[in-house]
Amino acid sequence: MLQNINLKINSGEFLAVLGPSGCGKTTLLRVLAGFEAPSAGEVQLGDQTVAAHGLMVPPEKRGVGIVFQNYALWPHMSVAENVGYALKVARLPRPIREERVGEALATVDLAAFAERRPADLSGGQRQRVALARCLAARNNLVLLDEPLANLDVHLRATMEEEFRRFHRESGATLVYITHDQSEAMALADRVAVMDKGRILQCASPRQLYREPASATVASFIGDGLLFPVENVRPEHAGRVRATLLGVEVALRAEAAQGPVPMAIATCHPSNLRLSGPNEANGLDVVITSRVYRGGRWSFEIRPHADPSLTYTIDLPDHGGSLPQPGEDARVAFDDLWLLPEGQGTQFDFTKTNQSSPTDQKKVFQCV
Amino acid sequence: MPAQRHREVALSVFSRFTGQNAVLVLLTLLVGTIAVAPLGRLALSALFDGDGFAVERLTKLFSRPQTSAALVNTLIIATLSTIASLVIGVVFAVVMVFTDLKHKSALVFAFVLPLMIPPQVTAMAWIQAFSPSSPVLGMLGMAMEPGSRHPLYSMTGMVLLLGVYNAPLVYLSLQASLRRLPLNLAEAARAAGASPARTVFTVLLPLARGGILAAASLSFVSAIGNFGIQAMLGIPGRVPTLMTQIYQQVNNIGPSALPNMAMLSIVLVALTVTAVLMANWAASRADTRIDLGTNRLTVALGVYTWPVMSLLWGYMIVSLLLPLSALVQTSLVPAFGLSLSAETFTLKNYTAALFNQPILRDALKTSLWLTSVSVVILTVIAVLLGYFLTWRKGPLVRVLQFCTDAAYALPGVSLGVALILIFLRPLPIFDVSLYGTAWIILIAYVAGFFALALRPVLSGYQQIDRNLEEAAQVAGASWGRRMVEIIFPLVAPAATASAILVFMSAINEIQTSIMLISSSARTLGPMIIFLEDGGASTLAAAVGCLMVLGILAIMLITSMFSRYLPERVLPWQF
Repeated sequence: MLQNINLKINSGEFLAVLGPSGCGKTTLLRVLAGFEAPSAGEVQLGDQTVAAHGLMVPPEKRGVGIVFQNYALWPHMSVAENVGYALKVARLPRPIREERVGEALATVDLAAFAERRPADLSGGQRQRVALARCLAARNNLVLLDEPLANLDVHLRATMEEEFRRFHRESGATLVYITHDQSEAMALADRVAVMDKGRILQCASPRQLYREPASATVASFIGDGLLFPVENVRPEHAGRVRATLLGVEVALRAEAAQGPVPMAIATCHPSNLRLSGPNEANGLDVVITSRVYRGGRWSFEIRPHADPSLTYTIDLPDHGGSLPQPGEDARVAFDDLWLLPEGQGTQFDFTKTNQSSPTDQKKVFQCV
Repeated sequence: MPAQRHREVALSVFSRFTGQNAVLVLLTLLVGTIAVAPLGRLALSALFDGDGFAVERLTKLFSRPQTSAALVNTLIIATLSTIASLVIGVVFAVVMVFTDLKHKSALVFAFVLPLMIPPQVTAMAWIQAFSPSSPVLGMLGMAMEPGSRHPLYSMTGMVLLLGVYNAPLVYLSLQASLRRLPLNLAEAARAAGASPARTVFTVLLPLARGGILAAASLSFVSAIGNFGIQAMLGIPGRVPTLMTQIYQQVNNIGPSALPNMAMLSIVLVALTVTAVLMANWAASRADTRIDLGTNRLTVALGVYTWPVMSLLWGYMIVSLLLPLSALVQTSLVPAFGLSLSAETFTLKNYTAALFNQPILRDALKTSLWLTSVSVVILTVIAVLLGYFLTWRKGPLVRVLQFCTDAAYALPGVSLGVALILIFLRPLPIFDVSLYGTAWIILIAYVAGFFALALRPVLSGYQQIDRNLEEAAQVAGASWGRRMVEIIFPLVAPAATASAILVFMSAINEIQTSIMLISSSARTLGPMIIFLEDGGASTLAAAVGCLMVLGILAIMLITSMFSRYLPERVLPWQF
């Protein structure tokens, strides 16, 4: 189910669509490709309307390229036949077909594999054949559906580079579906964050990380923490002061931010540090647990001002001694962002800051 | 600008999938006709006479003692033989799936082989093996008193033979569900201290309830519908069943018996449908968990290896080797009852069967072309139908699904009666009569083997990733082009398997053929019964042996090429 999707993708852009499984990102891809018809609204590719009320251009007439998660290479055709299939369907003369297939395979470094069958290739090579298929077809819009999900971790970095090169050399508009935020950040010009069939925010990776638009985006991207703040007072453009659990803090905010009585502030676990007990403007907390995570410690803290709240913060391992569970500490904020949304509303902070169990592996399939 | 483009695009909406939709509509009409017309025609003739609802005739029919005897016999025989099949099939499946026994492929091949042999040949082989003058039992010194009644010409004989005949069906249906049981459930039971046997009986078999019920229903339906064994044993043994009664009445009395026999055919259909629905209902209540791809529990038999091995091979000897060797012996002597020796050995039955009998030659020719044409038609239908049933949704697809299920429920003899009723009079518009020609048998084969052809193709489609078609679609290929260049090459192995199964079944088909053949269109399947009836037992045995040889050859050749076929679509492959 998709709702209120209003997305304008620029020509030649690399857009990532990021969201948890079941958020509708694959449906969005299938609507763009034409496998599903929207029940309301319009889809335009370039200046052509391809889906609207009573109008539906089928996928075979849209000229869109797709890189499927499982590559979808036809096992009964050679690599060259796979890459050249769209050209054959378009009835291009054989010499042109061969030239373009050769070029495409050379671009992905697979010229030597033209006569092989897909079954003889490794996962990474199959992925490159799938890319070559879009290169040869000269698709202006290429949709990539979780293309790295089936690859080993060590191959992902190389394939990421491959996607960048593909984007550069084809000049095509890329829509890249993924649930992995580091992948989305590393690759895309802009990232559209989706949840429950809606686009929550569409912005550059840096803006998404530093200036999330809503509490959901803030807590999803980089495990952001949410704090209630009161008495927000604008200072000068983009800076405000507010009271965070009784502590006076300075925050970044939207330029047009006005004064409000209640709001939500966010920062990332690494934006907090221990401060001396005499340092002003620190938040007094109790350490409830700590876990060593290699090079850094992960602390769970509860503010004295409101012990119902729990936060997980990261502290670098400098070799010195750090507080033990049960001890009190004082933490200071390096950087805080005031969410433009959610001001003055009742927001349940106890729920979002708890780390939620994410391993919902399905072992059995019930039939 | 947009006006023209919009018209263009609107046109493409209008024509969206039209090729595909046209095929879907035609297919629905065809399958609907194949599946629903026979049932409708049966109901019409059974329930209505010229002057309305036939209350009187039906009351008379159901108060006849033969009718109730046939019904009761059918139920008893089907129930008891199902129990026998279940016992044999479950034991075999458990040993094959869960133990480390050696030579499993050979055992499975030998166990499933009888299912591939036409039932009338099996029945004849058993009759000869256990006759009072049996050549094999005679050699073993176990022959019965000459002149005593044949022990298999009885209800017990029918139950026994049907039980053995359908046991492979139980195995085939059950092994698939046993294979899918998750190993970790068995490991949890072992870790809790249960012995391997206890694990099988308290964890794995209860989890496979659904599979066991499905197997039972399959075996029940197949016992009700096994005309070959019922006719070969039941008619001489004077144990009437619904099927043999329909056959005899239509054969002896002629068209005037058709309305009543249409009613009995409907009773047969009702029994079949009830069994299938009950199994579905019971299976839907069971909590079945499946897990694909993990390893299975493998129990080391240890000291039990030899007892289990001898039990299984002993069963093969009694159920397969003994009857077949009796058949071979009979086929090699000049007259029934002579024992095989250097003086009595002759090949004249084989030369007669192959060269000297024009009737047999004609029957073989007719069967071959009927079978080949049916295979081609059914393969095309199955590939198209499989596509729609697997990947498309909508009201037409639901109608298709319903018709497919309905076709499965129609026993061959019932289909025969229905086709006689439909084609007895010349076709209205064309004014040609198909009755008595081979064309009516062709229609019967297409309708009768439709479900058989579809099953492997459906499982083939299940293994194809739909993305492969979608990738071709975004490459610009139309539906027709995708079917030819992408889908067909991908389902070809499954379609081949389905063609092989249809060929093997149709070439020896008996029950619809026997209802529909005439002097101008004979097929191979019923010849055994006619020869045996006419007293030419040795010739019948030779024909039977040739049929078994042909079947064996097909099984062995396809086994050699099995790596090109999808896994487990050939039933005789372990």
